Amino acid sequence: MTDDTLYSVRNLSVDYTTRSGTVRAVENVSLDIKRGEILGLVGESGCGKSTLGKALMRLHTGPAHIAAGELWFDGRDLMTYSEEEMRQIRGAEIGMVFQDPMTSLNPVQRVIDHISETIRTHEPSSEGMARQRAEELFERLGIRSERIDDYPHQMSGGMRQRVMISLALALHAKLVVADEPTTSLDVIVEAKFLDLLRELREEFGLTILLITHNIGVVAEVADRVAVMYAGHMAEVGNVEDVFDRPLHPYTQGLLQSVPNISLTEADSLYRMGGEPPNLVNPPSGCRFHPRCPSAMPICSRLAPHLQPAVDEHLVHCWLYEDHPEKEMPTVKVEG
Amino acid sequence: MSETPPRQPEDGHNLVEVTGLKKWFPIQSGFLDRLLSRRVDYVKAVDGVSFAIRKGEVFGLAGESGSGKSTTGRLVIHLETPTEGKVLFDDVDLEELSDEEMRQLRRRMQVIYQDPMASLNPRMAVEEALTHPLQIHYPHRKDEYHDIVVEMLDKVGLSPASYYLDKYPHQISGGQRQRVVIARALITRPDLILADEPIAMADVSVRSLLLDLMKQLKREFDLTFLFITHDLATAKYICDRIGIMYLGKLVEVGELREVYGHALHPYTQALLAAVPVPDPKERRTVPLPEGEIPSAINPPSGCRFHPRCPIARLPHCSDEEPELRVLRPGHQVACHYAEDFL
Repeated sequence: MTDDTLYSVRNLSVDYTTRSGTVRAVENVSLDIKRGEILGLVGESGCGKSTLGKALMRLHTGPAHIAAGELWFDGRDLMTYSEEEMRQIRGAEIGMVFQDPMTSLNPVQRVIDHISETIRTHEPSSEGMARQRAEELFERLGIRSERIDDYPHQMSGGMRQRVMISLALALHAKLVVADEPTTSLDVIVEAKFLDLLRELREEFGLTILLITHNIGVVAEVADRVAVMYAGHMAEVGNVEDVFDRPLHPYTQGLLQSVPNISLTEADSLYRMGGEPPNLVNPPSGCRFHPRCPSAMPICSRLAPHLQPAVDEHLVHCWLYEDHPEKEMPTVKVEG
Repeated sequence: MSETPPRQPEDGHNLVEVTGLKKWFPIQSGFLDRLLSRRVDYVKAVDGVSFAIRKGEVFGLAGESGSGKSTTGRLVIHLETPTEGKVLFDDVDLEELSDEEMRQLRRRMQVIYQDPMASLNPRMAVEEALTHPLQIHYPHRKDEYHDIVVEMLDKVGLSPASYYLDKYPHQISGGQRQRVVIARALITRPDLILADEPIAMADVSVRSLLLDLMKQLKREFDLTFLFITHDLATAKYICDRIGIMYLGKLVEVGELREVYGHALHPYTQALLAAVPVPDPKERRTVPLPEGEIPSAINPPSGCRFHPRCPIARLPHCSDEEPELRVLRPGHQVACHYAEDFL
């Protein structure tokens, strides 16, 4: 872990206990989040991206628990922290924005009370000071400051999502985990929210983990992208590299099956066979092998490792990894 | 206010013609309000919309939430009764049909909704779900039901059909469920399919398969689609023509390539610009309109987009409502100053 890494996830596994057995939703995942970057975490439903996002704050309760792994945040291993110490981190150092702001805000509490309560839970501050800070933030986020006394239902979806961001900013969070923050927003509101994220990153030096199923959103704002499939990290790299030259066959298929509005793009989309697997009984070896057009016999026997194919472009695929039992030569990627 | 009737196509025939369609939903008022007979407000979900759907085409309706696109869809297949205006289906005025005649006509218009889990009865196995419409519309062909169901499952890519017949919705995947919904819609051999966000719930890697399936079935069964979506990128892959809605009004209609390539309404331009493009080299740089879509209870006067419009000229745009007019071949737009973009 280098100094420019804010959060380092090492060999993380998260299990869900269900009636049909233990489901390993995230298996042996490692990921670095660099200071000041917007990292897009993409994948389809059930791939483990939200589970990973929650694990960063150790938010799992009930049937879910972290089975293994290390969580290094700003030089500290959060796995060694007590619940009370974690509470000091959540909200204050790591902020969260979820998909549906209506369920994240208390419907019978004015938004100012919510913000003020959050600030005062973490810092000694008078109500007046908290209010003043909230008003400044609202102005910055493009909400008229008198709206601060509104209830959540009086605001539009885009405004509510800005309120959620203001909570993270109010406490100077170092990292914001935004899980599908624009999924319930209309396209113009979404685009403006993404602009805002970019501006805030510059202004406040925020680091943002943007979890989304929308490849277009990642292409629009992310610096780097991490692709998950069925609980595994499939590929990680700079956004230009991954979109220009995707290495994992899943990423390749995914990028070609996403509708592109540009009229110069082809009129037909790539059709990926099959559907994401049920993790109660995941495929053996590489979990993508049953859908993979380049699958070799080894792919169903052994899982590959996430390793650099070229520079900082990591891929989890036997095509790029050596093994004595491998049936095909390893693909060398030129830098 | 009347609008210019849609241009007649040179060839073919319109399966659906909609003229001056309005749907106003009264806002629930309290007992006291009614007692004092206070004014009733309306949500003007659809407020004067005219368009035609040609036989054999995929006509898209796109817009943000609250634009009235879904209500328009429901009006077209008469799941809602219009407050004003007319829907002609194959030259028949739906308002003039008796309940029994309407029921028979329903065979020819079927729906695919967004959430297959909500569209399917969780306690009905696939075979039963597909047999049900046959029992209603083809009561005299009992002996053939099983064969028709098996054939239809094959057509939507659920094969071997025998595997799926006794499955319940929760036993199959989301993509397979939506295929069952599509099969159920097609089994009565309809002419028109209303597809309201049919792939919005599906996983990204499954969407292209479903789009492709719908295209293929459209050819095979000679279907006409009314395709409702908020996603302009998806619309590009299936729609032949598209109408853009804003606050209960159609602001632009035309061939899809024409509308996307030469958008004439400032709202359409903003919508197209806002769609995230899956290519980091094409990040958006143009600014977007201020604010959010206003309430349909008390929409802005004149052109409804004028408070957010970058080219609005007052008082013209706030006083006078623009009509849809043809500015390029097969391309209508409702904007006073759309000539600026010609």
